[in-house]
Amino acid sequence: MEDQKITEYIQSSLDKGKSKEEIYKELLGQGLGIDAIQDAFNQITTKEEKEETQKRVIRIIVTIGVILIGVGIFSFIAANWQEMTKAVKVSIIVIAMVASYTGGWFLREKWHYKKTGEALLLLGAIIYGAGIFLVAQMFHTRGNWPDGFILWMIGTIVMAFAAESSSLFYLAIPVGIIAIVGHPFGILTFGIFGIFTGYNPFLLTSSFLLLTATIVTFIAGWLVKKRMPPELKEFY
Amino acid sequence: MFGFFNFLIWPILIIGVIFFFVRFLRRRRKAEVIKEKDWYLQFSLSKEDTVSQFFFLFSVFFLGVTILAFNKDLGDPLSLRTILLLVSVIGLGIGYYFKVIYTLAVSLIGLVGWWGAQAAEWAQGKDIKGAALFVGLLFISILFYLLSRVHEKKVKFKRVSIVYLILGLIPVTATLFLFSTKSGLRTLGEITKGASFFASWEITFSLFVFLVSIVGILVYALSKNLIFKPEALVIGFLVVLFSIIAFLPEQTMFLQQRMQQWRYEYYRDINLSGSGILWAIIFNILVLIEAFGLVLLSYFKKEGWLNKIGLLFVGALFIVKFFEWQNHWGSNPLLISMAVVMFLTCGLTVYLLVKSLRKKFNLKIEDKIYSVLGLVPLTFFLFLLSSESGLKNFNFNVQSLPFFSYLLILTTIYLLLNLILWFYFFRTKINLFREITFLIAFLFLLTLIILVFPHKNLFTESNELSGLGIFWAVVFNLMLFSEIVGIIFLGYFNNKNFFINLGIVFMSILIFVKYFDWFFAFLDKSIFFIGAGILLFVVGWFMEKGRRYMLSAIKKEEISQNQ
Repeated sequence: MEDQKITEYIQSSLDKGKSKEEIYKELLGQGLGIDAIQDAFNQITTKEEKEETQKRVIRIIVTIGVILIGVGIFSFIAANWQEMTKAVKVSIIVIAMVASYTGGWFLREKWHYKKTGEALLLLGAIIYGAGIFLVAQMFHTRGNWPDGFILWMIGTIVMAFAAESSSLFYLAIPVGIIAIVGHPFGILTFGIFGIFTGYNPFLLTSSFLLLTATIVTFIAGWLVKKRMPPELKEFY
Repeated sequence: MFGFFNFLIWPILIIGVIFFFVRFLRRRRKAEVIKEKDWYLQFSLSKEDTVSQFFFLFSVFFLGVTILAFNKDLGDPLSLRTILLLVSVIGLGIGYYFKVIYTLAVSLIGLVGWWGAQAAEWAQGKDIKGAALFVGLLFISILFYLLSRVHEKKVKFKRVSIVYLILGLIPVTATLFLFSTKSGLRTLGEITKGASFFASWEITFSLFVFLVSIVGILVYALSKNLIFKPEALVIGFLVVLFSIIAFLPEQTMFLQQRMQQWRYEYYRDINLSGSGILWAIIFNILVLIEAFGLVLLSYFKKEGWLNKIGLLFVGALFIVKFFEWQNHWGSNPLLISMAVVMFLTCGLTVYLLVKSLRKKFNLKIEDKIYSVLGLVPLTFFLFLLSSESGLKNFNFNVQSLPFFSYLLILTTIYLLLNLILWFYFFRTKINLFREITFLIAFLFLLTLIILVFPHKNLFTESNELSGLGIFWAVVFNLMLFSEIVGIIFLGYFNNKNFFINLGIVFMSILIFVKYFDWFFAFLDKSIFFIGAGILLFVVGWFMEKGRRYMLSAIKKEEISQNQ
């Protein structure tokens, strides 16, 4: 058998789900040497690695691009923030978020630019998070700061389910960690502070928001677990 | 020199963490996971697994914070301990029901934390010795270890078993490591002070329940052949030992008392008492048995990861001992660097030995590992020795070193292991024989120089090199130069480009270091930098030319050999 044919045979066998050992046995049975089979395997691996590297490069480039665009937009807005009216500010946030999500969805679903589309969806979720804090600051909303992160996490989880985007799930994880770490500090330290001053800034709304976060994360965990590939279900 | 290490440690740590997370979040092919023999050791089996595990964990944490918040709103009717217990029990239920290991691990830690806090509460005002609480926690760890054995047979509980195993193994190992050192023995002495745990019926009852559970599970595991008999014997011995500690009357571990000083030098000239020596012997033997026992267990159970953990513990043992014995050397950077070099090369030898005995030898990879782990630290150590600061650290009285030193033990182990490796390579004609001989020769010579040859009074009163100082400076500079040239020639004679490149890099570093060393003080700064620039060009040109020449010579030789 020619080298090219061996490679093609191995590739088609792998696609059929045959194990490496099985393919080795079959080819050895056809009278081929171990070195020739190994070379063919190496060729396939190199090809796959090359493709994987190219994909990774694209992913890195578009993610860096998104971050740079995000930083650019935020710095521009920050520089002109004081001069803008509240309506303009809110419009900028909402339009940027909607544009990002829409662009991301179209790029991913309609034009099949999967990586670029995912990156834009991620940008949309970041703008949503930044928007929560900017709106709270604009309208002088009274609240505990980790509440913002809980709202951000819940919104991101909902969007992740809607868009079926794994990068949004990954974004929700660090955001959730900040909320979990931030809240007990507020509850415990202000409790001690309150004993001396009689002032307790912790709000009851936070307690209900925390309860919502408990329910949302539990349901999210359960739903994501249900999506587990069937091959892996034997491990659970 | 340590400033240099401090400077390096943060970037390395950050890169390490990023690398870990990138690997952790890397999307793996499902088929790959199933085929992997050690699939249950993966933090994540798929992206869905990662995300759901995190969300379940979050829900438990959020539940805890929610209860904490409502508790506060309602005027703190529940104590923090009760909340911890409640959340841990719920977490445990979620962990088991959904087989989510992150939640399970955190809940188990929460339960242990709850017992610790509750026991401290029970002991309050009764002056109960800390040993009882400590032993209670160790009993829980042993229970976890046994539970891991009970869980491991079923595929669905394989990952749960690993969680129990880790939570069981780490505290017991850490305790054995701790008590095998002087500072640990001091702690052991401290926790034996106070009244018996019988003063609190709650603690007594807890310890009794733990003990009965351990015995029950041990008997069950033995009857179902879930545990090896020698393993059960070691566990039984540990339980008896920990029980004795719980009953132990107050122990005086040291002959002298120095209560106020907590610094590391505390133990330098304090000797152990009779009971201190007894406990030191017991725990040092136990820690050795545990570390090597795991390696042995891995061969019986045919599980590579257990072997790795065992080897990791052996390595950790050397590091713990290194830090403990370090204060005998008066924190001399030279001796510490020498110990690090020896430690790394010992690890390298064990690695090569294991690989060669299993006949898994891939010369292309082993060559690089050998060069990086063996030759790079040796070269930098020689750089240190050949510099002025290195000579200042070298200026100490050899006779002041303790006879039974860490370096001596490491050197002996190193030489013994290398002799086996050397003999094996010589017989099988594996192409690393020359390199191994080269490294052994240099390290043996250095050990002799540092631990045996006299090297006191290397500097005069005016801080200039004395006759003996000049002698050693010349020796070390010559050793460094010959070592670098040796690496290049090793590459040349064995047709290994990597060694040639490595040698050329070292040579250019040597030229630069010596240029800075000798000319910086004498030249005008601008001339110095212009000179450095020109030197860079010249070194670059020679490096390129030299490398091309060497590589073409190797290729010519290969062609002539093929013909």
